[in-house]
Amino acid sequence: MTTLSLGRKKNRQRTDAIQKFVIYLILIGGAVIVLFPFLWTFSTSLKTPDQVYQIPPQLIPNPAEPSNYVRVLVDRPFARWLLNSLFVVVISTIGTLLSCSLAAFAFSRLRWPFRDKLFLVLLATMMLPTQVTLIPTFILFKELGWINTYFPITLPAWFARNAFYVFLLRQFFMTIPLDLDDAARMDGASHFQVYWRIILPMSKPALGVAALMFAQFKWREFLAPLIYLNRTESLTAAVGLRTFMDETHGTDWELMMAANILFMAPVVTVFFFTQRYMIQGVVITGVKG
Amino acid sequence: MAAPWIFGFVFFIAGPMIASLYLSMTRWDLFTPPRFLGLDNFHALLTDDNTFWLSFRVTTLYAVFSVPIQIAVGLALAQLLNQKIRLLGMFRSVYYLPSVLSGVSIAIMFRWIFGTQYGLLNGALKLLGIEPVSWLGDPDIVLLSFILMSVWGSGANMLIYLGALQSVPTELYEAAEVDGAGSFRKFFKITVPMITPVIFFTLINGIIISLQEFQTPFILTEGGPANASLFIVLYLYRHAFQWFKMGYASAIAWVIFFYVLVLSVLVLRSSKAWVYYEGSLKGRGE
Amino acid sequence: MYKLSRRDFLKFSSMSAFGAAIASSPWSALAQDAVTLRLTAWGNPTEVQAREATLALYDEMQDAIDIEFIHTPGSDYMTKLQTQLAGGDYPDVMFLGNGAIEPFVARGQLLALDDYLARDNFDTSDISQQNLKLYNVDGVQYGFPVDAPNQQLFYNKTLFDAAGIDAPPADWEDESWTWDAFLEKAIALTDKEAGVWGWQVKTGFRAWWIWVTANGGAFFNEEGTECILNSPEAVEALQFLGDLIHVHEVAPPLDVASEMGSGELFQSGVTAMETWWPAIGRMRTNIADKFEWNVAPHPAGAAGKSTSGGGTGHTVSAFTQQPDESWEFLKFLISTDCVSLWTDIMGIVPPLTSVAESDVFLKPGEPPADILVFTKGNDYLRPDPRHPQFTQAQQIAQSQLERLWVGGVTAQEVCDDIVSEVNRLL
Repeated sequence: MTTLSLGRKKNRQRTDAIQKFVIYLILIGGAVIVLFPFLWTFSTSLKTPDQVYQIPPQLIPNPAEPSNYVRVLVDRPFARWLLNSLFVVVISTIGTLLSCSLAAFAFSRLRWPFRDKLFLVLLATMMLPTQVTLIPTFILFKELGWINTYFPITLPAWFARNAFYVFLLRQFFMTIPLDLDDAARMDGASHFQVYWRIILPMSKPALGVAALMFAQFKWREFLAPLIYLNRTESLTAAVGLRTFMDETHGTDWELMMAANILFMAPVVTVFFFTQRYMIQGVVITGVKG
Repeated sequence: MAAPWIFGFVFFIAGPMIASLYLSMTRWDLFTPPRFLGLDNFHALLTDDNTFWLSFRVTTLYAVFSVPIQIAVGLALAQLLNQKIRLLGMFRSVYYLPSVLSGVSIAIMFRWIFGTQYGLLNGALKLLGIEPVSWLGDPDIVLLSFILMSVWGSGANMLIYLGALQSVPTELYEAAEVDGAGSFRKFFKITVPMITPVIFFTLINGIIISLQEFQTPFILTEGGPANASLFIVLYLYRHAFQWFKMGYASAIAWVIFFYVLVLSVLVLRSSKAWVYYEGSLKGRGE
Repeated sequence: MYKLSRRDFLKFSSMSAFGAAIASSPWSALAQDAVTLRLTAWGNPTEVQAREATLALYDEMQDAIDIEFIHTPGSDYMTKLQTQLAGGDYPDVMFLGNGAIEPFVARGQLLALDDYLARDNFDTSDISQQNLKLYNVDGVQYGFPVDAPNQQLFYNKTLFDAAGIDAPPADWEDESWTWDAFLEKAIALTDKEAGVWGWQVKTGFRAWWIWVTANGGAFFNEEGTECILNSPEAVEALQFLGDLIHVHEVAPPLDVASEMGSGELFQSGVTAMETWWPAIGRMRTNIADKFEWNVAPHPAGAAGKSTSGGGTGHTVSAFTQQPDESWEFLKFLISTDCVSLWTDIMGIVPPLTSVAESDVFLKPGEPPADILVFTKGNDYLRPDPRHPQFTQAQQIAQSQLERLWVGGVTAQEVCDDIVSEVNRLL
């Protein structure tokens, strides 16, 4: 290496260090802003009813009341609700990933009649507020005998019910060069093989993002489980969470917040441990082709 | 291969959508048989309902500001969190946290943040010597508060962009570095153009979501004060489930539908000028 | 085809790790030996506890009827119930606010109870007649009340004593308790330095309805063809309330109140007087021995004293397959046993005179000392206006009045706007 490029490198390192410092500053500042309300939720979950209404509010409750968590788990079947949610989320996430990626593949990498028109139809299905299709949909599921079962909130996911994810995956698929498909086809691969062997493995980050987002959406989903599930023990956690709230008789905030922490904890944990694999799972290879 | 979707669409979606379109042309109290009115609901809605136009204005203003801000903040976060730094996983999780919260908790939290006397935000402003602001109690300010709140949800966009950044070929950056390009130049000349399909997605999706904002105003302000945060879907909801006017509510829904559709088609049209598809079928002269 | 996929799905899921979670869940069919009635209701954890206790009692008492309790969180209850009804999935017994009775009857959704009342010669004399009437439309009875919650003035006796001010009189016939007397006390009690307010202007309909009716105002004219909230009586009452915030400054501005949790101000000792529905049990627990408290009627306006209220009741769906069993269950719900248990757990004002006179309600030695204010208040109850468009009209009034509470407009301007907007609806 020449001396010139060495000097440049040293210079480079210094600007890098400054840049890093600024980045940390921004990240930590933002993190504090984001985290503060969560700390407050956590702190409220450890308060006695008296401390909840204390003015001005205390951040660190003294004495702390961890028994709020016990009450949430014992007085109400919250553990059961969490399990129900887990079940619903796993079943429907698998379905969504498979069916939406198939549709996304068809909409991005195959040519067929009315493709672009149908794509607009697909987008349009996201544009009508769900409040007005609620009753017709309910009637449909009632005719199928699905009321008070998990079918209405799991099965449609296997038929790409959530256009959002078709759209999301399509956009990701469209960033993958078409040459790859062509090369595979020349080797005699079918459409399905191209999808399964080439597009899916190359789209792990996208699938990871979609899985995380859908699972998280499903975990929080409220209206459908509220409408279709009747028995207390079969509710999902998102609906169960709301049963701690009461406008007329007053909400016990300390219980509500403890339930909230229990509700968020699994999602945050899963995210923390999987984000690396999901987002950094694939360093793009084979693009050079 | 789109068969599952087509089946799902015909089976689960098309029927209820058509039903609601029919209902929008009726008077229906949710129980006794609907009475057909033709386009009367739409006529009343568009010419004689000041509250509807008020909510239309509120919702549009909210979308116009919140969507670009969410995209910009999401993109900035993704860029910051796509480098080799310490505690990367922790930072990503922290910034994604707000997206994990349920709508109720978000609303409750913001009641506390936006409080006039003891609110966090006014506490911070006080340090800067700024008088307390009535974030949720002043009809002129409440919409601004909702826009600020929407920034909170940028973590979802961040996640999408993080995914997209992985597919930007590293050799493009290497080539740019050889040419002596700095970080900003690389970001705007390589990163942004390469992920335009995904930015396009978040733009369309942002428009759809923000024009249907419901839960937070429903819990936090109930549309107040004096209807200053009356989002369209909140107004629709009241007609549908509180006032027993499902026909009118469906008409509102279909007006929203066409509004979103027109905006989306405009964005879609414009996308040819700014969205770059590596895998586009069209670019290959077929 | 559907059966096959269902079975496959079931098999698949039972093999999965979550088999345990679903074994007793909606995947498996309900065994139906006794007649099962479906009861829908909302409620916070305390109310669910009361619900479960009364249902357990019912279960002990008889074997013929099982109750399936469908619990839906409060703010979403009507959304779910209406979807169920519109979709033809009818519950048998429904918990309904009295405001919903009229629209439900208008749409033919409630079972008329008159034939059953006559058949069983059912004695309703123990039920508070004012509250029973709330479930009666055009002379036909459709349900029974679960409580008799008229709204009264709660006051913090410790703050009154500290300021050396006489407490508001508990006697409904005491004519010295006027708006002027009220204002005087509110001013004397307010100590902003110490963070104490004399009053809180609550924005809910029933909170201001007391003042409007006490002054002789009304919402609709007799025929229900016109909104008359801009009458001098109503305007004067609303202006009086607005002035409490902006002129006399004895009530906190709305944003300050809602930040501290407008529902919690009284319980945390911030307000000296406040309108409350009788959440007596909750008050006892939350206030405990922080301060002494008691209740009194609201002060008399030009037309005398008044209280608002309503409450909730049980009704039977018009489409139940088991009307006889539903009626039997309804009779249990209004029985002394059930009402006593409910009152004991919930700490509300019971709809039965026998229970209202018993220690289950009076709880001697526990606050409020003048608990009889509630029972006597039934005679002064001015229920919500009955009108098919009332819920929407009320929302219009609510949004417009927020301008008055925020400040900068007169009650006259606001009421004129309400009237013109509501009249367009009629």
